[in-house]
Amino acid sequence: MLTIKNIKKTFGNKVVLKGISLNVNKGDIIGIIGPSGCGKSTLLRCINGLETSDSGEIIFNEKNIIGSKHLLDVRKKIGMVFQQFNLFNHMTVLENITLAPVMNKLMKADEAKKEALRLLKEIDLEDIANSYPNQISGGQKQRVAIIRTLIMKPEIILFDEPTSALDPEMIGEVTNLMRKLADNGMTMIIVSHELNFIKNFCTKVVFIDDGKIVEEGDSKLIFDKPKDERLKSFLEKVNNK
Amino acid sequence: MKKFVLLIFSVFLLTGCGREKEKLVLVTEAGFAPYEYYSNGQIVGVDIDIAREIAKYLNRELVIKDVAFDSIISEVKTGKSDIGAAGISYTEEREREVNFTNSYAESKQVIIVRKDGYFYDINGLNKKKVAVQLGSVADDYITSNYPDIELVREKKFLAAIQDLKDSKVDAVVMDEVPATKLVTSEMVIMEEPVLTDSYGMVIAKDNPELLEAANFVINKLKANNEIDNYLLNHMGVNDVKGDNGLINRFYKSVIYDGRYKFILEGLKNTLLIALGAVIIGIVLGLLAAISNNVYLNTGKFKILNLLSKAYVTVIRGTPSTLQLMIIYYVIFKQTNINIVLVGIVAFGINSGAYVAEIIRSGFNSIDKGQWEAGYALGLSYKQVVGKIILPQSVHNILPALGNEFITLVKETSIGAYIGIVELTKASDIIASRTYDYFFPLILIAIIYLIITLLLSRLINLMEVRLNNANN
Repeated sequence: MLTIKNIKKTFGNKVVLKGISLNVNKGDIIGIIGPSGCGKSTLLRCINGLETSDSGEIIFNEKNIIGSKHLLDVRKKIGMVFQQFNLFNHMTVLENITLAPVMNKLMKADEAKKEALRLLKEIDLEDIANSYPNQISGGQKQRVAIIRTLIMKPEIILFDEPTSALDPEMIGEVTNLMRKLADNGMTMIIVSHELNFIKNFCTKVVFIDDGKIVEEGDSKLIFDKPKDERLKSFLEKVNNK
Repeated sequence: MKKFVLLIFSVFLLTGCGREKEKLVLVTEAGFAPYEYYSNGQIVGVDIDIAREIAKYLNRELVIKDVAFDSIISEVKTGKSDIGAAGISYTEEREREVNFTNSYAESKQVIIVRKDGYFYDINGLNKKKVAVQLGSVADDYITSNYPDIELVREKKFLAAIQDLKDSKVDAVVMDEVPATKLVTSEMVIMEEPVLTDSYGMVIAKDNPELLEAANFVINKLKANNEIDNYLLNHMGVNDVKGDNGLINRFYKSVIYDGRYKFILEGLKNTLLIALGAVIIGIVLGLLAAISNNVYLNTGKFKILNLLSKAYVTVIRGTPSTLQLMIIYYVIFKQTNINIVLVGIVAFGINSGAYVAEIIRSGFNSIDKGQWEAGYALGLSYKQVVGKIILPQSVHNILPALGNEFITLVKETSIGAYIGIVELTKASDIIASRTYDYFFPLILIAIIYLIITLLLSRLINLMEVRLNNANN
């Protein structure tokens, strides 16, 4: 459903992506790992056009989205969850969730409200529907952010370090919700430093270093039988921490 | 908001319209008794009496405009006013700019000193400090003939007298007629005049018909000794009996002759200008800030962005007094637009540049993640700005916007430069009648303070409400 072909991205004179290609099928849960500054987040942000790649193609549902006039429509189908949650601070949880479907005319206001409450109830968060973001915990914020994406009925969700800004005891509530999405067959691409989570959760893992895919494959193989030296040393460093 | 704009415009319609009779616009600076001064809310005086005769002769309606003395020549030259009269003496320099009528009054420039100080003749004033009214005959004459006299140029001759009272200067040089009314018991007028001079009215070079008519009327009045009558009529009209106690001074400054009406008029204009300007300012500021933001985010509006950048740079880089004068004397040169409206436009344009910067900093204060979250949900630039960025910016910029409004209220005081009767000008008018600055100045200071305190209170309340909404 999503094919990335040889995309490149430069910031100023720093080449961040040096030609990355990746194929994502429906139901895939792809983990992207690699050292800081290797280009993982940039790759993710190119997929929904928050960054525009300099060259290459990103084909989603048979259309190239780079420079597309339909970028806004594409984004409705590609959800994104941020490290810092990015909830709208001036809106209640409910308003955060219903804003996009109503503004995008996917639902009427009362429909959106009903659906938002249903989704909140499924994860026992209906109590905070009328709270503001600064009144709830980090774990709650990230789950609200996921629901805010989910209500758009996306075909893929991109997770950019979804648990990095969380206190350790809250990581579980977010990963549990992600597991639930996986059980329902959601396609996901996850950039994360939580290697244990990636190993157990993802169907496929991609290791990026210096703007290139160095190794990719089944998650168990990547972690248990790494081939490339750079991947080996990366895993060692992380495990010795 | 809409209602308010309507209100403002209806005020202009009411004040600006009505053209039954052709107008004769007289420009003066009403602080030069007995030639022109305020009494009971009206500008009266010898010059006004003469101008009224000229208007009567021409079958035109006399309209009087009160501006700063240095602006009178340019008012006439640019055609904003038909005739200028403010005890203006003949000088070659002035005659190059405008035509003078026949002289209607003789004046003597005299030296005033303190009784307890030294008595000087003009040569004795070398290296001494002498106060004069800026742009007056005394100023011109001494500047060109006695370069060693250290001149203190005051906007008003009243201030010059005050300088002498406070021993800030050694002498004052000014016209004899007002001098006789101004000297206090501690002062004395030197007998020997510095210069004897005569006054004429000024008329634009391209208006010989009016010059001819004015000369005809002046000659007739002089032949009938009418002008001497006028002078006698206006001598002593502003004297209030009583002591110099605080209560009597307050009475003279505020109550006598309905002088509080100036303060009310000034207050009305100050508020009208500040409120009108803040609306224009917010509209312009929003326009400039958004065109800049649109350009940065989408690359559209390139020219609008350049224009708004130039606008902000020019306005922030030049003094507001200068902007006001340019808008009045250059841009609205030939139009007979209501002067309060000019004030609203000028202060609005000025404020807009600052508001633009405030809004821009408000946009910048919003975390980039808020933009990205909006975009990632498929919202357009317009939707992100309207629903996510602006509402949060308002909260962040409210204190700065409030400050801007408070600054604006105080800044309207420079409106006096172009003759707007706002609070500061109102106090000036009163002081020009009472020769006492204390109460008018303190009173308007208190009024400014009350306005700004009320405003900050209002802004605080709004902040608290916004905070409550957010928490």
